[in-house]
Amino acid sequence: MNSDNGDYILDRAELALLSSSNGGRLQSEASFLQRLLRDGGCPVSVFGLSPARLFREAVRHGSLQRSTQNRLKIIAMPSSRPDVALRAGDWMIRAVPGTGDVGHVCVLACADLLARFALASEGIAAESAQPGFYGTVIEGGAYPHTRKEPFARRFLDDRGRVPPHSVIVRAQSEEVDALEDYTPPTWLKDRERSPTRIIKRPAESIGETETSEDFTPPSWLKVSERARRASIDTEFEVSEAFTFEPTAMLTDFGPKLRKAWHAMMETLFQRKIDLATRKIAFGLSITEADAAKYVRFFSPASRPASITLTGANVPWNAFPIRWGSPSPSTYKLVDEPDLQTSDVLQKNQMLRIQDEYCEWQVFRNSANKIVRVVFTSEPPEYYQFLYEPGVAALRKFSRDLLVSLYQARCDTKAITLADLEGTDVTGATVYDPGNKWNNQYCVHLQMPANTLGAQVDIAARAAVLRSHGGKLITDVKKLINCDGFGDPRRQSDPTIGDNVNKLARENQFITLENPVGLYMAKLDTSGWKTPDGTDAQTFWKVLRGKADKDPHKSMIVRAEFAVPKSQGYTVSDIKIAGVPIDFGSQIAEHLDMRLGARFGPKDKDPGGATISAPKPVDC
Amino acid sequence: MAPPTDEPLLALDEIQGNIIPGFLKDHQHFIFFSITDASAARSCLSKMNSRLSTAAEVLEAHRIWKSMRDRLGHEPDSAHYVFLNVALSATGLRKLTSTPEVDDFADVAFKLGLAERSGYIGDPSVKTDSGHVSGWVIGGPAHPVDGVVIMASDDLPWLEDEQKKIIKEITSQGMSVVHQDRGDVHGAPKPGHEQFGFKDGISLPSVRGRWSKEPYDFVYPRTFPRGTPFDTVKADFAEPGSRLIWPGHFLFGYGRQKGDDPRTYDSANQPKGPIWARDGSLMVYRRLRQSTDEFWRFVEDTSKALAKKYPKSAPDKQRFSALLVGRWASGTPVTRSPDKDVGITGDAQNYFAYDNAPTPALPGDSAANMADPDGLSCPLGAHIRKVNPRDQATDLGFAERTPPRSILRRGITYSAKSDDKGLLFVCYQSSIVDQFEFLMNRWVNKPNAPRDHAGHDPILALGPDRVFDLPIENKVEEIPVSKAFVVPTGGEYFFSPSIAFFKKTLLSFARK
Repeated sequence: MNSDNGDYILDRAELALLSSSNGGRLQSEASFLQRLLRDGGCPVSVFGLSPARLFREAVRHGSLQRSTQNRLKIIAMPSSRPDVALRAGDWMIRAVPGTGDVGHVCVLACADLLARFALASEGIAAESAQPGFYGTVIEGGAYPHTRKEPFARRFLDDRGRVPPHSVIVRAQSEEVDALEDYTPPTWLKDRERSPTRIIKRPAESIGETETSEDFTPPSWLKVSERARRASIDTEFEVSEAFTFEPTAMLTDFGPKLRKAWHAMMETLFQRKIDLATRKIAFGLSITEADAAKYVRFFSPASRPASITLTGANVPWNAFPIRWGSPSPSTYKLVDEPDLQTSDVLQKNQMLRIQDEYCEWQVFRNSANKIVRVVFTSEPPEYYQFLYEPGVAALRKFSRDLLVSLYQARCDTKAITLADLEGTDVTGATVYDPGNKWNNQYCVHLQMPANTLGAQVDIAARAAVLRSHGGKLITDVKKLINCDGFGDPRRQSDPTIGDNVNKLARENQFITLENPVGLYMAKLDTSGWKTPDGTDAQTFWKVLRGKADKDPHKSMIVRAEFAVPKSQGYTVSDIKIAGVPIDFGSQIAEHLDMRLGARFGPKDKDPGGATISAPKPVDC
Repeated sequence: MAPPTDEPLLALDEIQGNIIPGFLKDHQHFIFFSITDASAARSCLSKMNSRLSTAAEVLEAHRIWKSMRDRLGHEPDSAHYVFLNVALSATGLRKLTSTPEVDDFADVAFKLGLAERSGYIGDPSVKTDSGHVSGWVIGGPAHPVDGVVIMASDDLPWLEDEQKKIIKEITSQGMSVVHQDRGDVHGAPKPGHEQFGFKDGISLPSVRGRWSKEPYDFVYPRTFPRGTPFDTVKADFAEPGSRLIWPGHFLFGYGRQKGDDPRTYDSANQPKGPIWARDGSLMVYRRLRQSTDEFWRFVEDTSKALAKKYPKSAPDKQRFSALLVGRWASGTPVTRSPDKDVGITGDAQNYFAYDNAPTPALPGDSAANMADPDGLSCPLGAHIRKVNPRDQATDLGFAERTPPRSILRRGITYSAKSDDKGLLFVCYQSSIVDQFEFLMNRWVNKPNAPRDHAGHDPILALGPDRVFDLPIENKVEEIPVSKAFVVPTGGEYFFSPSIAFFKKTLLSFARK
């Protein structure tokens, strides 16, 4: 068993001990047991339950189904050998029937049981001198013990049998399973920030084809990037000190879901870093270990930072520039969805085309005037995660939460889980970001390139120094040509790439702000005129996330621009610099987006060790 | 590298001369008129066509003037011209042509007029604030304007004479004069400098294009020294710091930059307007009053406050003012001369960039030339850096997306009264929305553009909560800027048509 999880359980046991009553032996025993049981998620009615009662039930019925509803599983009955190897966190319950005594419970602190003679050489105090196998314990009672004051009790006799008057049980904690049984869900793909591709559209008028520059991207970059690891790497430790927070610090998740989210984000980061590393290794024909030295992007979960990190903010505009100068025809085009290949279903679907990590939906009245425009920058991963959190035991709960979030966003109870599902090309049922509710109510980002994974992908790849013909590349256009990350026809990708690469060129380690997200920062309403002179800014409402007076700190992921009916006019009656608002795009044009990066001091790795500048990788 | 033959032939006999190359005379007068009788006005303006100074004429005039100056060793006294151009506002054009014709212009800013766009470009929105459109002396709802006659000369008495004649001519044929502004380079502390004392007009774009089919017969001469070391920079610049921009960014009827490649011509990518708009340009006129006292008081107070907080490294008055502008009063760029004015002159004044210093060095230019990507020498919010980020990526993405935002500045200082002096700001472009207004709304008046933490433009920005971000002692001091040093007191958007418009198009509307 993974020692990490064991430590976790023992920590909880010691916490239980600390918080239990120490008003005498009887109270201490009962209180400790009750806290241990509660911790294991037992039903509340453990009042009055004592170790002795549990022992009696175990002996009488052979199980603890009655009082603990199988939260406790019997590993070994008195005078018999255990079915499985004992492990840290197992309980030993003792009682001497007929004495009316409360009994005793202790938690095995270390799986390595020691023979009696070995204890002496280890200098560990033991409860008796009898031969057998002893283990250090955490316990309450007359003389409580924790791991700090090692005290050993006899778990097995010298023939490997549990002594009479003892039973060994194991707590079936969900918490334990959550960490042990986590498998990265299949939806968590090695997604790159892909170029925007509208199907069956005529060639875009402006900026469509790039003229050939002095060089072309090297062929090895075109290698399929969808390689998926079979299982999670367990080599990296989950740092207790760092947790990936949910996007925008949203509070939908309880502690278990937060844990699973953290595991998912950590996998995402690691995958992106591995992807960047593999590309370099493949391209330079070096080992991955050597290639890792070129990457200046790190995950704070697997490489805890003991250096001070400074914030760097990357701003861009929500309205895409790929379709040319803003004009009524461009606004109309951008407002509407179009046929694209969804990378979730791998099928063609009508999806929103707004590709600067911000999407919007327009609501009109019967006179075709706009009453409301809803903006979102919530990542699809947040909702895919709720559909499949990577922990089987959490699935039912998270899916219920998914449906209730949708119901709240769309303001209707008439949404079921089936509404949010689709079948992919293999026939599997998956969460569908192009479901009709998201389409209509703009619950979260659905354009295939608008994902958290894509954001992390760009950051990881832009943190690699590149050169062309031996000369260091400092121009982000050349950088994108060389590496092929993102889509050059956006504002976000080049801007993010430029900022990250610039930091990497200073030999600084870079990561992303926690919580990782793509945020709306501010809506600029200067020059907007309403029919009655009301400040247009009052119609901008943040629905999820939070605005901050300092736009660098804003973490808005859902907002709307809406004029209430009582005002007597609509959004379309508001003029931006003399032009009435006929399209949501006109508002998006004045919406600032941002993401936050964090970087360390020059020439230092996250652990604080001095590290020399990496050699740039030639194109 | 774009082959020279990609640069289109410019119709220099059709393009009015203040657009290319600009009048550049010591005196430039603006006569604003409204049209009271469209039919008479049409006839009058049409007859004026042969007197309008074309690009070809003004280019030739400048060439002669320069040649004489080179021979004399000083400015010539006997090469005088009076130049004449005419531009029309959307309201004026509607009267002379028709509303559907003017609707053909894609540029919504031009069609609505400056007053309607005033709040959007950062002008005060509160009626009682200084600079609000209701207080303007020209333009705005109180003083609508249909057109402007622009006249320029080095010879003031002669100019005033000609001006009287023109006024008599137009007022007797369906037009009335609503306002006049007189620009004068001598109305500033120093000719060629603006009111705060800073040298102006150093960095202007060059327009790609040729006189004739001869491959290298460029309208804007390439002045870099010969030799392969300068080949790369020559591909993008005509002179040091003067970017080569495709003509369609300033003129109708010509193509613009292809996508994100400033070196490639896209002849199909033309500004949209009526067919008779070809060889014309959209003009912005802003009468900007400058408060010199207010500005220098702010500089003095702030440098004193900084000296208290940062006794070791606070900039003195002169240096602080240079950090606000991005150049020392002499024109020396702060990027190349961060601590004191080392006195860079000539071409070298514009030979610098931010992400990478340009190479190779110009002959005789030995002053330091360092990159300054983080704005530690020249703050990110310095005026010249806010409106021209040069080789730096911006919130638009690539640096290659900045050239299409360029404008041709043709302004001149004015001094009407002791408390009314400033700059008659004039610029030409083919899209007011994407060029002038973009610069004002997106970069000047926004604190985190073109780069994050730049702060607002301390010279031009208006509005509450403005800050100038000054890097000092390893941190950034956010200096609040509450006063307005530059205040708009008038203005309008105009269209400066081709000669053919006056000669032929106007008459065709007379018959309708």
